[in-house]
Amino acid sequence: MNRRMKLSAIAVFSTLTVASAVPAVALENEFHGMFRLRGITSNFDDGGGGSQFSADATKPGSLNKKNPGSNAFVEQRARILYTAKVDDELKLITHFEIDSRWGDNSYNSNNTTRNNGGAIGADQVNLETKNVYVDYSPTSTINTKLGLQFWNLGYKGIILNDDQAGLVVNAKVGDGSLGFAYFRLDDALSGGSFIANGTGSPTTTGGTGATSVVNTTPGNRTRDFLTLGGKYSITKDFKVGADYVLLYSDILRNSQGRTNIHMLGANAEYVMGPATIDGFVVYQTGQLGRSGVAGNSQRVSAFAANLGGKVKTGPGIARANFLYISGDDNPNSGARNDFQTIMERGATTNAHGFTASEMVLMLDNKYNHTAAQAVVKDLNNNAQGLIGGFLGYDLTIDKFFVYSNLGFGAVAEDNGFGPAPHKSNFLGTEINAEIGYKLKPNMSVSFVGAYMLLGDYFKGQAVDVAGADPENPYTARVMVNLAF
Amino acid sequence: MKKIAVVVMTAFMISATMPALAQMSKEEKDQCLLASKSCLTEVDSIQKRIKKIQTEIRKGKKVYSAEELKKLQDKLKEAGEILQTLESGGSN
Repeated sequence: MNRRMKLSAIAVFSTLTVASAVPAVALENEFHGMFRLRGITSNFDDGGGGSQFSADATKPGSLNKKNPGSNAFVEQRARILYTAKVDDELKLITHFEIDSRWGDNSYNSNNTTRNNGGAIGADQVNLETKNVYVDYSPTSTINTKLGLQFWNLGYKGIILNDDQAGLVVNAKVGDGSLGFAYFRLDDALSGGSFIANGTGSPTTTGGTGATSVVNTTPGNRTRDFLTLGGKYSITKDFKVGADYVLLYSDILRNSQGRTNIHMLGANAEYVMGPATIDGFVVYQTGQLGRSGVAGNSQRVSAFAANLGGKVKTGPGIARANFLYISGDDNPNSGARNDFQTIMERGATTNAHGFTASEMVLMLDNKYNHTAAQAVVKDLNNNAQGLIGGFLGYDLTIDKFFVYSNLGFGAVAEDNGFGPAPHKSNFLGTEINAEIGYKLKPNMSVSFVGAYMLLGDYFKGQAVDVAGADPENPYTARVMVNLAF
Repeated sequence: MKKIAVVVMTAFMISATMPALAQMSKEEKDQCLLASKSCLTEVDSIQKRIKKIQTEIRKGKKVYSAEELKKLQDKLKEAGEILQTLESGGSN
């Protein structure tokens, strides 16, 4: 090897060495997560989901029982969020969850995988995938999210607040922003499906959409969600927004008409010194597929409205929220005036909620795990709708915190749902409080107590003792929360 | 001479591309091993990141340009969304 060749070899070796020592892409790995444990004793929570208002006398912990008995159990949830960050503009986000109730099952012995694995031996296949999506910003003003993702339209979660697959595009324009989102909610080849609200009718069992899916070709019969909207800052403290939403479904077109529900929403937020006022109005129009009625569909004309606010008062923050969800006194007629809510594929799992109420028993709570009962689980509330008023006060003193809430609820329209005529529309009054201590900046332990004084709606409605009043529900929980 | 220069350059380039693995002196205690503090690979918790971004935003236009402040606001929003996603309840 002559001198030139030797030098060339050294140069090539140097290049290779440098190239192999520098990674192709400076990938940043980011992990976040949470762990929450809840020890619960209650005459209401039974470890499952759904509404506890049941005509089934055998249902344990049922809301409408004179002698509901009590349950005591411990459940835990962990979530791991991993982000592979190529740079500020491009990320892959994945989110996983593991739930179990202490002692529930092990080794997949009950042939159920998720929400299990807390029994002796453990070794359960129970890892759930919540999110897998790419977050990409092609320019500094445009952001896109593509894949299975958590998404909330706004409107405090009453329209859609869940994990689903689709595309979200947001663009900043001057003092405002424009948004587009499309999600495929359902393209199942078998099983049941709930197009909009879970039951829909007080007189038919199963109700809206409770028939089997017949879909032999993927993409042939689907449930889709599409929205276009914008937000605009009139001043630094005054923001307004408007959205159009289309909820479409032809999943059950073998047995009923297509669902085409158009929603028009407007929202606003105004900051006045220490106070913030916000609210929204959503109007629905269109068609709801429904078997068993003339034309196999019903016309929809319904609305929801909210007014909320918070203000720094004394050492803490006072909160208030008012919610109106329209109901229908005769949902079997040609027109539906009850607000159509979006459910998952089952009648007990809602894809929406109103956790701003901070109710523990009356409505779905933000801390719910597998045990996720509520008096009004689906805001459609069996086509009865809801009128709710919620007041709260949050106090934080050093590492201690006290959150207290008071809520009132009534059905908007009484359509005779349930085992007996109702003496009133009033569902009841809930009082709850959480008292906690921050052990570390990202870890706390707290005690939650909630009690609901049932209203005359439930008078004489007990299903286990004829004509008796059901016992008022309560729950007492100890909770350990870690998020990092 | 050229040969020596190439060899020296090669050695320099290799050394420059190697990560600095041992930065502390022998007298210092390894707080990373002892108390999981000051580790080179330490990542902020989501709460710590939110606090850090808020601190930087408070420095305002004295330190950051309007565009940089907007970027920090976006990062604050993103961190808040991560925390919300982690803590939000699920129906099941």
